[in-house]
Amino acid sequence: MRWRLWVWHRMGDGNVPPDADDSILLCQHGGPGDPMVRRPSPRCRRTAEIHSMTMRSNTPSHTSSTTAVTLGSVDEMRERIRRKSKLKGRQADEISIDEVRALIGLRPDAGHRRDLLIEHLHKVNDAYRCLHDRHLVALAKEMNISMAEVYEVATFYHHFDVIKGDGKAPILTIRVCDGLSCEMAGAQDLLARLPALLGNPEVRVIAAPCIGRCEQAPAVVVHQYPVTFATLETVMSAVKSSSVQDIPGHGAVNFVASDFAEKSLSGVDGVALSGYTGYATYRAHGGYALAATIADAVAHAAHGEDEAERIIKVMEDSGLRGLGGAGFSVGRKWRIVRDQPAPRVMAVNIDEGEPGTFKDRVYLERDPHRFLEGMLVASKVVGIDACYIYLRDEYHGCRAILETEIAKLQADPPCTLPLIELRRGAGAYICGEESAMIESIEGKRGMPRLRPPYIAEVGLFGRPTLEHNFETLYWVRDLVEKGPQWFSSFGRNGRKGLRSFSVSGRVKHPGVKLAPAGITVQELIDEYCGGMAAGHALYAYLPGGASGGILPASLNNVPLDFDTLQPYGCFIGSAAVIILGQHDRARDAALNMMKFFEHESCGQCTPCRVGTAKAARLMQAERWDNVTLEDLNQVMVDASICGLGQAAPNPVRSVQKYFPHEIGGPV
Amino acid sequence: MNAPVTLAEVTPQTIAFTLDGRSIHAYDGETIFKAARRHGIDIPHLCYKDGYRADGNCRVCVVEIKGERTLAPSCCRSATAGMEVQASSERAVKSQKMVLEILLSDMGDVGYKWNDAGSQSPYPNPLPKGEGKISHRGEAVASSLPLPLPLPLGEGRGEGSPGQYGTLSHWASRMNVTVRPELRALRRDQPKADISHPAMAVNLDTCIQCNL
Repeated sequence: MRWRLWVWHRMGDGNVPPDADDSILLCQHGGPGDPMVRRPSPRCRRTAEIHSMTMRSNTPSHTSSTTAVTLGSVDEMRERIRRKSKLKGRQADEISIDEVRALIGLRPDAGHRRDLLIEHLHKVNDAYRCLHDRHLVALAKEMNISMAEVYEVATFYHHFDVIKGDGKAPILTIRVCDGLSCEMAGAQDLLARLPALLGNPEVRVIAAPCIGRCEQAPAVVVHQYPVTFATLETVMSAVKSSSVQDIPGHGAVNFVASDFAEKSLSGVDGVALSGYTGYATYRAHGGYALAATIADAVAHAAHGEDEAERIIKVMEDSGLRGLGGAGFSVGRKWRIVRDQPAPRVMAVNIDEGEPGTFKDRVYLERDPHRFLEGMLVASKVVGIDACYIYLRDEYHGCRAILETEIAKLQADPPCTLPLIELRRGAGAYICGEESAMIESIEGKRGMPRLRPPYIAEVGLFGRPTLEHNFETLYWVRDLVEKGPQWFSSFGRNGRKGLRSFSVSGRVKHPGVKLAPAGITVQELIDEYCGGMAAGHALYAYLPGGASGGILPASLNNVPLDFDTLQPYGCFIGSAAVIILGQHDRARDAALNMMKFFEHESCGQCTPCRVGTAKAARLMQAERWDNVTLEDLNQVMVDASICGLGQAAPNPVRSVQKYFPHEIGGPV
Repeated sequence: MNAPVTLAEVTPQTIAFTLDGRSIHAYDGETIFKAARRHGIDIPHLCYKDGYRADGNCRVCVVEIKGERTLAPSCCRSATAGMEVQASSERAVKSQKMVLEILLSDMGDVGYKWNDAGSQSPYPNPLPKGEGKISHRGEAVASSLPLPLPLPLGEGRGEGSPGQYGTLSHWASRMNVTVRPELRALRRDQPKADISHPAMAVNLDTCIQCNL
């Protein structure tokens, strides 16, 4: 029923119409002495508005003391008043604020730290399986930052599901890795058949970019629980048994990485690990003695400089280079950052996202302390008082291990520890780029920074920053203890050092191979992988993950190391070697990579954002448009901000150069 | 007693560098782009705008710097003494033009910028009265067309051939960039106009995503 709103003008009689709704008749436009004038209230103005609207909508010819206009129901009017009495914009409701507070805690006196935004988003996302927009508003209010800042971060990362209004989050999310190795092992089939088999539209099955389990392909993640060598049956049983967490084994195994020099690391059958080297075991076997000694020596006023210099010299002599992909000399990097003014910080990159790479995970889930000790040594030598470890969100098991073990280390420190913070990525390949990772640790979108200034000068929180890949730090203890010659004594074809190759694809025994630098792919397959998988012959291989290019079988004798692949338009990067057989096509691999780059481009610069999208479309044509593709290649390589866009054309150019017969060129 | 006593104290320090073979001076910390503009050299640019922080995202202003592996955005890079910069080398121009072309290739058929040169709106007909009106609740009342938003006078105006995509059209015509059919065929699915707000409408189909 619609009510009629009566507005009566003071015409002298002052009679209230009998059917007038009292709640609307709040304001009388009378003089000060008028008995009908009620106390002035904020509502007065609003009623006056209604009054004037009424006046406008009625002709002056009205002589009656009352005019009737239908403006809406009482509830509508109340709603309007309520709406207008609020602050503008979305406001946080009490319930959402309480819910957010329950997760992130009460606001500290100094306010919530801005850089913890992503950590807070994780807490909400974990608790509600999604991010409701009402929670984002509440979080913005609690953290005293703008809603836009929260929203832009929440929508940047793939693992945050922002749900608007009353939308519902899926009860369970199943992520099927569609990285190249998993795709070759049948990921597309799983993706196609799982939804029907599950028969529950509320369970979401989505493709995920490489989750770093290529040696166990195809890999599927049920919520946070990885299903390796996934089949429809194993995924279904994981769903039914509601195993949703990745729980690490016990910490009593003594894993010594250097024992595996020139050997394969992973088991051939991919049997789950029985455990890892925990804090007590690690210390019982001499762990942290080195860190303690160096910490003492460096702190010593007289010899501190000498000790730091000695360790840096070891790094330089060993020829150790950054093992995340760029291959910058470790000794030189330490020297550069050390020469910067304090306070300096360290950022550790375990955002192992390069498709085909899983070495960091394999080491981390066996032996976290060797890395932590390397980090301590680096922090002492370079003079660093805060270390931030950035771990990709896909490695839930590793996160549990690191959380436990860092706590144990802090509870019983072998030397004075720097501040150690473990940060959780949120599903963004771009955050493996050094400056994007820094942005992410600062709680922002992972968008690479323009250089100069270089992060060694102006990095995390504006401080000089030493950034290292996990594996680089992992070898520090062995290098110092065994001497630089130990490391540089390995090597083939004139190259020096050890490389942890992550081998996957059509080989009999995929896994991490701690092989000498300069080994060829043929030697790697024959000596470390037990040959090719049954029914497959080497056709092509990717020497360095998605960005490293693709080489044909005829180039199976090229030494694999930094700098040796440039003449072929490729690079080794993080040493992720993916092997293709004669039933595979290089163009399919290249397309898989380009789609990955398109998906993972942060969208900041035009060449990468638009170029990867256009290239992925062009590469689907039976016959490639090489002229347009090459123009795109050139602008991506030359004008992109970061390595993602600059390296994205590598697989395209490789196919054009080595596999023209696949794309409509001459055989 | 802090007043400057010599002219040198108030004169900004300058450094010399070469741009396209010509020696020019830049103030300390000045970007290549600004120094070039002071010398009458207009490097193509889209996301750069006076008064805003330069972000270097559109990559139209990239230049070649001797000794560097990739091109650098001139709007963000400070000139240093002796730097050898090429803004119109074949390599730099190739990227500048490609960026314009791929941005143009995603644009809709009709832009939103009034074209004063042609003295008519880019719309075939002005919207009938009432069309495109938005109710106070935010729903579009009668129109499926997004509101045309005439932009304030910008750089695309009065410089010869303003176009329907504003500055983007301006630079495309200055640099002789047209979209090849192969790329035109790959035009993205246009994002819908956001007219959820009573006072603002956002036409994302003409956005170059400069991230400003």
